[in-house]
Amino acid sequence: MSHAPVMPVEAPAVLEWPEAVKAEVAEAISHYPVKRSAVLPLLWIAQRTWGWLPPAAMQLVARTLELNEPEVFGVATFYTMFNLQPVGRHHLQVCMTLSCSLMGADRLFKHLEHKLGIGHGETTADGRFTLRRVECLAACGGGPCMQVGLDYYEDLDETKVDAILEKLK
Amino acid sequence: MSMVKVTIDGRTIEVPAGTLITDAAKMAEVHVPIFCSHSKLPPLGACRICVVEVGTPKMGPDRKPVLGPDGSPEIAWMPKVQTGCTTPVTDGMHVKTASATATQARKGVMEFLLVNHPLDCPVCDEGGECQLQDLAFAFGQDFSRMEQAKRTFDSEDLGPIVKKEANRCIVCMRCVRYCDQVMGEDALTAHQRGAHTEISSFNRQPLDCEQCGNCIEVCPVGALTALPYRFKARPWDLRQHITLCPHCSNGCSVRLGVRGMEVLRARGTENRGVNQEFLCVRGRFGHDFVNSADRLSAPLVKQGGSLQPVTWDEASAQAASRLRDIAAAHGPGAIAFLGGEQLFTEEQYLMQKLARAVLGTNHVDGRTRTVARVPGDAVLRATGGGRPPLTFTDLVNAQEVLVLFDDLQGESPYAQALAIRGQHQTGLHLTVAHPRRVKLARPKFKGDWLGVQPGAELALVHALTKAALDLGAPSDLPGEISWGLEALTKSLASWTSERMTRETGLSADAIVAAAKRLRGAERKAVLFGRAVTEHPQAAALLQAIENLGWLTGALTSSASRVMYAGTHSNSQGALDNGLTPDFLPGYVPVTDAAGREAFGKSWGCTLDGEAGMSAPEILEATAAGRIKALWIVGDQWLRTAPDAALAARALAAAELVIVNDLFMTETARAAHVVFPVASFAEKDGTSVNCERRAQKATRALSPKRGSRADWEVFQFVAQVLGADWRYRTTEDVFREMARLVPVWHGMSWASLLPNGATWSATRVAGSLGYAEPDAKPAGEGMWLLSGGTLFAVDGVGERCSSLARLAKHARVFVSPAEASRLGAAAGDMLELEGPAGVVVLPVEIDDSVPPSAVFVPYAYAGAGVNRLGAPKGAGLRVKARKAAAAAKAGA
Ligand code: SF4
Ligand code: SF4
Ligand code: SF4
Ligand code: FES
Ligand code: FES
Repeated sequence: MSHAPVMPVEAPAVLEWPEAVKAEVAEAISHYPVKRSAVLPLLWIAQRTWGWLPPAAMQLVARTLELNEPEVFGVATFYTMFNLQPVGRHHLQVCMTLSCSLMGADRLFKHLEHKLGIGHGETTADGRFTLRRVECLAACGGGPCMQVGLDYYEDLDETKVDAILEKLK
Repeated sequence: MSMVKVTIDGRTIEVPAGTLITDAAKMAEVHVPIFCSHSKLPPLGACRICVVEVGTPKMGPDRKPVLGPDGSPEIAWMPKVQTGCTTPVTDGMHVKTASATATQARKGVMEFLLVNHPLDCPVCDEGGECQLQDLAFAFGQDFSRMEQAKRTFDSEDLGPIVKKEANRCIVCMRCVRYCDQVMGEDALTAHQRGAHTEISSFNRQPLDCEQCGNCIEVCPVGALTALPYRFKARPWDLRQHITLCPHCSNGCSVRLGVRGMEVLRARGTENRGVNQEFLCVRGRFGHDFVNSADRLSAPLVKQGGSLQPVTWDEASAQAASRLRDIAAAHGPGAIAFLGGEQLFTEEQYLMQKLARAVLGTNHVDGRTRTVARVPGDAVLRATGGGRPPLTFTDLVNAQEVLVLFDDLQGESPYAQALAIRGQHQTGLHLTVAHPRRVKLARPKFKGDWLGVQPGAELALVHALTKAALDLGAPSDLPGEISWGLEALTKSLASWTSERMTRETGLSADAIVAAAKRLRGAERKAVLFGRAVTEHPQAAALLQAIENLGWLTGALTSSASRVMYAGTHSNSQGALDNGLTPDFLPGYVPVTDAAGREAFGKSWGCTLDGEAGMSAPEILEATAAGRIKALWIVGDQWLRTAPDAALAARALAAAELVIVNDLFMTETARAAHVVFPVASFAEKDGTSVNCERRAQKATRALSPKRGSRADWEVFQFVAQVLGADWRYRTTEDVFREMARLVPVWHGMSWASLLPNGATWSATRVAGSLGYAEPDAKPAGEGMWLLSGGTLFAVDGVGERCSSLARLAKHARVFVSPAEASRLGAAAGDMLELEGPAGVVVLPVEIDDSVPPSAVFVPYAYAGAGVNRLGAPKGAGLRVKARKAAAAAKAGA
């Protein structure tokens, strides 16, 4: 159950920063007195760029910051919000922590599993959705809640969720 | 250093301020358990097993300690237990390590550590020497309150050396920290977090690292174990013997695990030796040659063209009578001895005594890889002429370290680890002069790389010396040195910035800055090794390094900060004990009549007062028929001799070749008499490491059936020749040495325990001198770079299964730019043509190799780099082209 995910091999062997983010990368580095401190922002940029963090992206971050590759790998696996495997176009992250739980998160999650035919950490065959249980999203007042990509949806029930899914192509 | 008083479990001791509680407890002989803390690593406080109760004197409003009714200060106990491994003691501190509270807390920690631990001790290689097992016995319970399933991980092979069973991991982070802060590899990392934390490599790939296995050594549990030793033995079935690693001059202590007559593993030691837990890959996995099935097991004598097994008596009689005949017919000068740098000190002494006292020849040279004559005391002078030497402790604490032309990774792995640890602990700064961008010259280490042009080594040392001289000569130079200052200043005057740059290919600023750093540093170290002694201009280079030492203050009248790491484990001993043609043991010149007489009187002979020939001269003379008998001590000499063609000619021309070896090597095949000898693990003796520390090695098992230690071989032959030698053990030999040889005066084996001793009683006068660098060989071609590599397989290495696997096959390393110029891709065959021959090797692309050079490691089985010819003048150039053959080597 508890393996660090093994990277799919079809990811490219070497990646470079696309022109479009180069300035942002430089800017992120400039915020810190030492380069290595920019590891989280750079991983974040990489994830935005490629949707997830293939090994080559972590190697790129290591190269950019003159860090050792294992160090970057350790950081990336420490945080749950870095995707170490490809995710679907829409990443559904359902809060399972106390407040949301009390408000029916479990039921909601089962509904999603049933509706999409996938379980925790899985992606639909058409690559549209990835479903994941997560810990507190810090929107406890609006439980049960779910994060889709970077957007929050609160006070959910089955109908609301269905309507949301409908809109996500 | 200010001292503070601390009371631990009622014992009051004084310790330096800042000492950690766990260390203070050790001094007070109180046991505090630890897992994550390690003497070579900064404190972390990850495991909490070392918790203790801590109290400090209660302070009154007047900032004075409040005194109790009995007049002693009242103690304010901290409300919670503290980790002893991260808390420094303060004055008046009280510590309780075994109180009910501390024990209760430790039991809690133990229960947590065991929550997910599989307790699979019966199938764990660590079982029997596991710290978790020990402490579970002390603080654990015999039941678990944990009802859920334990979290589990798959087991993983992280390459051919490291086996990982993450279920057993207690996440102490020792492995990760050691790999980073001592090995400088940073190959391991913690994946995930919390209970799911797992130690592994980047993306679970096989470890791309030095394969030292130190992560295994420091792992307090069985989470990391050694694949080569997996399921081979239980620790209680092994006899464990501490002896010395034979693979380099650093002289690490290894703990061999022996079962029956088989060496099953090597480990570091906890408290012994210069290295304690550290071993490099060669020390840890370079021992199975001892068990090798093809060890020679009987002396061999050539009869009718082939080598036939004979008894020891016959073999020694043969060797002796033929040596006697040759001496009678052509004079003792027709006999020469080569090799012996890897023998123990006592054996080296006997080897030269056999040559000088029994046979009467001064043609003795241990330095078989030299290509030019080098005075026998040149190395000693370059390292301070016998002044107290640079130790490893000095090295790790140095502010500035200059590495001259050696790749420490391949030549001195322990010194490299110390330099890296120094970087982390005291901010040590490195200056690495090497044509290749070797590991320590990589940007990840704090330092500067002087990527000197191949062949410009002497020029660089002159340039550095000139830059140092321009800063003003140090004031405390001994008389003989200041006397030569004026002449040296004149000789170096031509080294303007332009000349520095022209000859070294480096910016003069970089050279001047390096000289400034070295001169300015209060604690410094200069390291050199075989790249210097095996240089075509070795004598001039050693003199230049001596100049540099004096002018940068690395040599002073009271101490030396220059270290020589020789080619073999006991290269230093060979110099100290007269395995040089021009010096008797203890640096007594052969030409010194009084010294000669002192030795002659004890040895019962008159010694020849003329210096003998050096190794390269001996070979020339043998090939020319002037020397008739060669006695070669050492493995794979034909493969490692600098010029294979010359060595082969000498062997063919010699009337008598005697070889001491473990295996039927090419050299042994050419011999007339072969003596099968014991390995390092099978004999007692002493060896002198690069700190000039003589250390005692203890045999771990008896010699393989049919073989004898080298010293016994010398004694057999000497006895047949009529010498009255009656040494029962090598200790007898050492006693004689302590009596006769100035450097060993007053020492005994007992005085070398536990961690060896350095000598500094003898002084050889220093001097300044200057020789112009040789002109670079004209013409086309790429520079041939050679040198030791970490995984190099020499004669014994190829019989060590793990080393042989890691070394892979012989190959030639070229830079990406040269490879594309040559139109060669990785794996293509490249043909190298030198003055003496051609070799064809598969290409490996390596960006550490400079342009217009190729790098072929020494001594690789099948590489035959010495068939290209010996370097002359400033070095060797070869022509490289892609081989026409369609052959592509497999990886
Ligand atoms: S074998 Fe040595 S270099 Fe490799 S991971 Fe372990 S400690 Fe690091
Ligand atoms: S593998 Fe061993 S050394 Fe490394 S963290 Fe785990 S228990 Fe500690
Ligand atoms: S550093 Fe040298 S002496 Fe130490 S283990 Fe390695 S080869 Fe042996
Ligand atoms: S418990 Fe769901 S957002 Fe905090
Ligand atoms: S030994 Fe002190 S916390 Fe691990």
